[in-house]
Amino acid sequence: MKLEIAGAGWVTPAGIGHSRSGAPFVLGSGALPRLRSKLFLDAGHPRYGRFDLYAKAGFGAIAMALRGAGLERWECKRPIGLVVGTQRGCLDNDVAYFRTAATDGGALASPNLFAYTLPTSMLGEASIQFGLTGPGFVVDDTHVGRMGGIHAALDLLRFGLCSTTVAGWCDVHSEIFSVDPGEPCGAVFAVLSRAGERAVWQWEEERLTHEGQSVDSIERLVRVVLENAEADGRV
Amino acid sequence: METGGPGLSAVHVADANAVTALGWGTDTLWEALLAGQSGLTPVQRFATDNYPCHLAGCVASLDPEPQTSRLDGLMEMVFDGIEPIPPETTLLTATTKGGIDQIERVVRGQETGRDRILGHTIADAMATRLGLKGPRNNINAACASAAVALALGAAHIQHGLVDSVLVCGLDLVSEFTFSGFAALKALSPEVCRPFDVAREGLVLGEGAAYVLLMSEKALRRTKRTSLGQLVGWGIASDAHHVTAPSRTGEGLVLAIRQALAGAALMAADLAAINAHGTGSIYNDAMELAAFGQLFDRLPPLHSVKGATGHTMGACGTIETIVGLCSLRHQCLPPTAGLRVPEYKAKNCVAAEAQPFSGEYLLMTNSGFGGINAALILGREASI
Repeated sequence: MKLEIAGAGWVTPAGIGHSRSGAPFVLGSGALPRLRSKLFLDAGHPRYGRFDLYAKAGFGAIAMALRGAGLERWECKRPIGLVVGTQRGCLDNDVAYFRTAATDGGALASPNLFAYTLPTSMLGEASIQFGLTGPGFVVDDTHVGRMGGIHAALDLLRFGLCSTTVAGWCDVHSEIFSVDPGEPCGAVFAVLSRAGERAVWQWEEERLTHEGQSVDSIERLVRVVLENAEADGRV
Repeated sequence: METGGPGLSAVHVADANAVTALGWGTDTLWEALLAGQSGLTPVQRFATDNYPCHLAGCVASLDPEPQTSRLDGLMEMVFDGIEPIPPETTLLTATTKGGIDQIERVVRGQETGRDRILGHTIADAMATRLGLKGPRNNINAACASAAVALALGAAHIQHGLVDSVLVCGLDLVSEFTFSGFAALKALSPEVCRPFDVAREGLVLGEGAAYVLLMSEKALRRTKRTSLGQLVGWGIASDAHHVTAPSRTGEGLVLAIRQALAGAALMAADLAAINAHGTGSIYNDAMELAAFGQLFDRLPPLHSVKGATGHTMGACGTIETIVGLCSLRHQCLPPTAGLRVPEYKAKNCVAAEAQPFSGEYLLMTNSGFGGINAALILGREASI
């Protein structure tokens, strides 16, 4: 299957950007920048302050990817899919929520925190903000190159369940699941579409290639998208 | 019966089993549903004094050793007696909160393992238990998780990428989810009453169910018989609200239309519906609004949630099994809890079993984040 990758966006410890922003892309470790909705949306977002870090990073990177692809603005809802690969998802929010529920026999359980105890809530918020009505789901991403979400989204395109999808990776460090401090955190998304035979991206036999070269990590995928954008004068 | 479409493989159900509050096994589930039984009982697992609801559909004998998750017990029960599965089979697990009881114990400062908190650990444990060496993943699409996993698994077979996919949905009743739905004021103070004019909310349930999907070739090779088919599937989002469904059911309409198109069927070809039917005011109204846009006259429909409780990530596989039994027996089980049907559901939902005649059944699930999934099930085929 031939495809086009129209844009990419990211929220990483090194900064925030998209494929037409000219911002450098570094998939690093450490703390994420302070995230506010106006970094991603001119008008801000009324519930962004309630999001946990996973949702803040994921929502922001989806917004950036859509901006990079020129798909940020919309009038009618669009059948675009949303897929994310993650391991820890909203785990810290789960802990924060249950702290409110574990005392006083649940009398003080927070409905606002509970609403974000599914890793899909972040996708739901993005689908509302950007009018995306395609398939949406979360996969557990154990791929060494953090490509689990991308691969699942490529299958959606192959199966004809949608023709465009925003897909990527989102993981933040968790209070109850310690990981190597050097492990990357943040969110990286790309906008993938089915394309005609002349397209240079291909998904065949579970292998993503660009001009015949294997692209086996999300970091490499974004770098190729950035190189293409620069070559096309879109930066 | 035409299956698979030009150049595409038909997708058969080769094996299935369920464990719910109604007991172990597909026959037990079907007979209990048909008898109008309910598995909803007072919760013993944690105190419910401060909650508006005291009922849930808990699986009996699911008390774990302190270090483990109740999820392990569910897995053992559902796979008890399973015939060997081809080791190359792809495994898709589906759960909303996995080993949430372990997170509860972490927060309470109690000693606990943490081996069922991350999604892939569940798929890994299941693969080890069943000797599976193929690809595996966990799908989370809120309460549509198992239905989405079935759709993805079926698509893999239909496109000839694999010959067999095992989909297992599972979720627990926990104080975490119980308190959360209570905080959202979504729990019913009494038994849940799907599609009833006086419904007041959902009642949680737990369970696990697996559905083994196979191509015709694999079915023949493994000398299994077809228990039924997945002939169409669709997944779509409302893009409306994080915890509430769209009032118009627009996402569900999209999902059903996609499933119909994939199956090359018309709405009139669907003889019956296994609806999500959580018993919440808004979900059931949304579903009836969606069905009303697709059917000139609604076929018989039902919900199992008044009998099993809302089993969240597991409901898609549990209800697929119920749907296949319904097709085989040409009969929908009673909707437990129903007293007076909602106006729009009058004459199509019933507290008694409803016979029907037809080849195809629609199964729908929806979840937080506005995710909707629709599956079209077909009758068993002679191979």
